[in-house]
Amino acid sequence: MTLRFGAAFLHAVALVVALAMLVPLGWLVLRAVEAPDVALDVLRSPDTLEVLWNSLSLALGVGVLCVLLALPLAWLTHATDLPGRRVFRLLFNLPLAVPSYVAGFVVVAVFGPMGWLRQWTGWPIPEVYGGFGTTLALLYAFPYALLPLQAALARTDPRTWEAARSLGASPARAFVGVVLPGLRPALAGGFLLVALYVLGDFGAVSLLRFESLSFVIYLRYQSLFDRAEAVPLGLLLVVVVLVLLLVRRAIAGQHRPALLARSGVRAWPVVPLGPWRWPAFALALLVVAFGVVLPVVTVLLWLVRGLAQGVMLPAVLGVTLRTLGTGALAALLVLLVAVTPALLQRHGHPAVARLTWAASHMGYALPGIVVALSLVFLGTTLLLPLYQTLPLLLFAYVVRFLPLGLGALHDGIAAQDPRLLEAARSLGSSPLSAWVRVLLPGLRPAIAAGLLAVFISTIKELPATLLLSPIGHSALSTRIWSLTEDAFFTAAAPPILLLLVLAGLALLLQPGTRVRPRGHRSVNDRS
Amino acid sequence: MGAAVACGRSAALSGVSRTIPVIVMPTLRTSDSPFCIGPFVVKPVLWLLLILCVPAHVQGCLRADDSGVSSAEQLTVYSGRTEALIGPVLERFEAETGVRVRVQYAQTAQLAAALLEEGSRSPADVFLAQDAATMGLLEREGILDVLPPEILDRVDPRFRSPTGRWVGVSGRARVITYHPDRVDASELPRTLDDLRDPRWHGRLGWAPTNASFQAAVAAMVAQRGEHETASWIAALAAGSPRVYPSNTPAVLAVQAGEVDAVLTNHYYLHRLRAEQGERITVRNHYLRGGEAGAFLSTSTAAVRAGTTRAEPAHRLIAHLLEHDAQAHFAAVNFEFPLAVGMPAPEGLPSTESLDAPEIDLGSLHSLETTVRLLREAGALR
Repeated sequence: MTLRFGAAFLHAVALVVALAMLVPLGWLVLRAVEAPDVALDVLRSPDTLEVLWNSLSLALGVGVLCVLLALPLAWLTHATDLPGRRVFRLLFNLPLAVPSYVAGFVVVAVFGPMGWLRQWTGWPIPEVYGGFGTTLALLYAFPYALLPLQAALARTDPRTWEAARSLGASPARAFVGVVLPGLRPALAGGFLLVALYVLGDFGAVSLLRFESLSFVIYLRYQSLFDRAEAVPLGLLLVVVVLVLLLVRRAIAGQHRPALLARSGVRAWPVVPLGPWRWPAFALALLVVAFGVVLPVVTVLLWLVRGLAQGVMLPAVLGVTLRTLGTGALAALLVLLVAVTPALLQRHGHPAVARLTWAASHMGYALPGIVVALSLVFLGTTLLLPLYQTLPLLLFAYVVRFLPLGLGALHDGIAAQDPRLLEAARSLGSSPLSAWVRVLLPGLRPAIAAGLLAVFISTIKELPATLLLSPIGHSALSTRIWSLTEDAFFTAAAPPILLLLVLAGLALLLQPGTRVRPRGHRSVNDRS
Repeated sequence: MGAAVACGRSAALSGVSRTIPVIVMPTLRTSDSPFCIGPFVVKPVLWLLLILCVPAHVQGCLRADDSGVSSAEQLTVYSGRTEALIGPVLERFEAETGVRVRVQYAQTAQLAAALLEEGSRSPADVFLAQDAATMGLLEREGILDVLPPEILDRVDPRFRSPTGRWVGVSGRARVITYHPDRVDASELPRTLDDLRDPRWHGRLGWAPTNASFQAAVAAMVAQRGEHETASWIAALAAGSPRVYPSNTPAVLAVQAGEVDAVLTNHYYLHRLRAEQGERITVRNHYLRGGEAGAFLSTSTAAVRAGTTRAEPAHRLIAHLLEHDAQAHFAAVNFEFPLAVGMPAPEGLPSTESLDAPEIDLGSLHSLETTVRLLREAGALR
C-alpha cells in the first residue's frame, strides 16, 4: 500500500517537474502559433538546413573531443603516480569557470592570424574564425565530461581491477576490459552535457564566427525585426536535443553494474604509469597551460597594463558574496529537484521516465536568451509577484541547469546494483531507509560532481541573470559582461579572477578517490 | 543491512582475495584533497562557509526589496548602457534628489525584448538604450510616453524623436580605424564610396551584426535609397572583408595587423588607449560630409507609457542632459555630448564639425531595409 502510494507520489512530482521544465518549449510553441507563416518559411529555407547541420556537427564533434580528452585525464588523476596528481585533479576542472569571452580572446591570441603560435613557429595554422577556432574555444567545456568521469571512478571498486591484474591482464587490458565498461554511463552523460552546452552556447560561436543555430537565434533577438524567425529555429534545436538524447542512450548501453556494495569502501592501489609517467605529465601541463594559465595570464595582463595607466578598480566584495550565495542556493536546489526524475529512471514507469528525462534537458540546450524570455513571459503573466525576485531567478537556474544535477545523480544510481536495494528490502527495511542507508553513501561523489557543475555554471550564467535578477542585483558574470562590452578590461579582470577563485574553492570540496598510501602497495602491483 | 549485503558480495570474491594478499590499513583514511594539512582540514570550513552563505544571502535579497522607501521616491531603470558608463551618473542623481534608482543592466535588444514581453506590467519607468532605432520600435509599439518640451529642447532636433517620445543623450561617431603603418594618409577615403575601390580588397574589416554599423548603413538607405545601398554593400562584400562580432575585437584586430582598417565607432580606440596606453597605435579617420560615413550613433532615453512615476522619470532624463552627466560621458567613454552647448571630449573634433547626416534616427523602415539587404548580400545571416 505504502509502496503504491510512494510510486504514485514519485510520478506526480516528476510530472510537475517535467511540466515546469517545458516552460521554454511551451513559450516557443505559443510564439510559433502566433506567426505560423514565418515559422514555415524559415523551416523551408535551405539556409536553415545548413545552420542545423553546423550545430549538429559542432555538438557531436566537440562532444566527442571533450570525452576523448576527459577520459585519459580522469584516469590520470584517479589513482596513478602522475606527479602532482591531486593538484591536477582540481586544476583540470577550472576551465569551466573561464568566461567564454576570455576563452575566445585566448584562442584568437594564440591561434589567430597574428597569433603567438604562427609568429613563433611559422606553422600554417588553419583559419581561426570558423569551425576550428570555435571548437578550440568550446574545449573549455570539457570539465562537463570530466566531472562525471571522476565521480564514476571515485565509486569504482578496485577489486575488479586487482583481480584482472592478478590474472595477468596488462594495465591497458584491465582498464579497457574491467574499468571502462563501468564508466560508460558517465562517458555518455558527459558527452551529452558537453554536446548540449555547445548547442546553447553563444559566446564562442559569436566571437569566432560559427553560424550555428544558437548564433542565428541570438542574431534574431538582437535584431529589431526578425524575432519571430528565432522561434522555429528554437524548435529545431529541440529536435536536435532529442537526437542527442538517443545518441547518449546508445553510448551508455545496457550497463549492468559489476559488483559493488557501498562503493569507496576499498582504497585504490597506486597504478604506476611506468614510461608513460612523464609524457602524461606533459599532457597534464599542456591542458593546464591552455585551460587555466593562458586565460589567467591574459586577464592579469589586462589588469597590470590598466593599473599602469592609472585605471581605478571598482569594489567587488558585495557582488562576490551575492554571486556565491546565489550559486550555492541554485546548486542545492537543482540537486533537490533532480532527485525525483533520477529515481524515476530506475523505479518509474518507462514512458513517464523518458518524458521527464527529455523534458529536463530542454532548458539546458536552448540558448539562454530563449529560456530567459520565456520566464519573463511567465513572470509577467502567471507569476507576477515573483517577477525579478530571487525565487524566479532560482527557478530559471533550475530550468537551465537541471541536466547537470540529474545526469550526475543518474550515473550514480545506475552504477549501483539494484539487487542491493532488493536485499535491503527483503531484510525488512522500508524503501526510504533502504535508500538512505544502502545507496546514498555510494552517491556522494555523484552528488558532489552535480553540485559543482551547477555551481560553476550558475556563477557564469548570463542571459537569465541579466533579465531576471532582482533589480539592482548585479552578479560577477553580469559585471564581467558589462565591463568587457565597452572594453573596460582592467576593471573586468578582478571579477574574472574572483570567478576562478570561487570555482577553485568549490572544487576543493570534490571528494577524491581514496588511494592507498605508497609503501602499502599490494603484492601484485610490484612491477 | 547494507554492510551485510556487502559482506555477502565480497565473500563471492573470496577466491580472488585469497590469492592476492591485499594489504589494507582499515583505520587509515587518507583524504585526497590537496589542501588537507595535518589536523587542519580546509573542507569542513568551506562547507560551513557555503552553508552559512545561503540564509545570509536570502535575507539580503528580501531586505533589498523592502527598504522602506515609498514607491513615489523610487525609479526603476532598464539600462542598455552598461554600469561603467552610466552607474556613476545615476548615483549622483540619487544623492542630489533623494530618489532611489534601481537599475537592470542588460543588452539594449534584450531589454527591448523584455519590455515587449512584459507589456503593461513592466516594472520599468525609464529606458536607456544604446541606439535610436530600438526606441523607434518601442515608439511604434506604443510603449513610450511623450517627453516634456523643456527636456526635448536641450537637444538638437536631429538627435531626438520627431514625435518627442525619446531624446538623444550622447553620441558615438562612425569612423574608419586604421593602422598608420599599413594605410597611407593619402589613401584614406573621403566618403564610404571610396571604399569600393579594389585597392581595399582583402584589407577591410567590418562588424555587420553591430547595431551602429547597421544604423549607419540605414542612413545611406534613407539618403540614397535601397538600390544604391545594395550596390555599395555588394561592392564591399566583393572585397571579402573580415567579419568581426563586435567593435572591440575589430579594433584589436587592426592593432594586431589582421586587417588594415575597420568600419567602427570612434570611442573604442580611446577606451583601449586608456587601458593600454601608447601600445595602441591605430588611428581614427572621420569621414564627415553629412553622409552615412559621418553617422552619429545616438544613445537615447525614454519614459515608459503608463508609468506612475513620470515626474521623477523626467527629472532623471533632465539630469542626464545636465552639464555634469554630459561631461562624464565625454570623460569616461569619450562620447560626444548631445546637450546643446556642451564641448566635445578633449582632443576630439566638436560635435558640430562632425557634420552628421540629417535623417530620422528612429526610422525603422530604412533599418529594416538595411537588414534585408545585408542578409541578401550574405553579410548577415
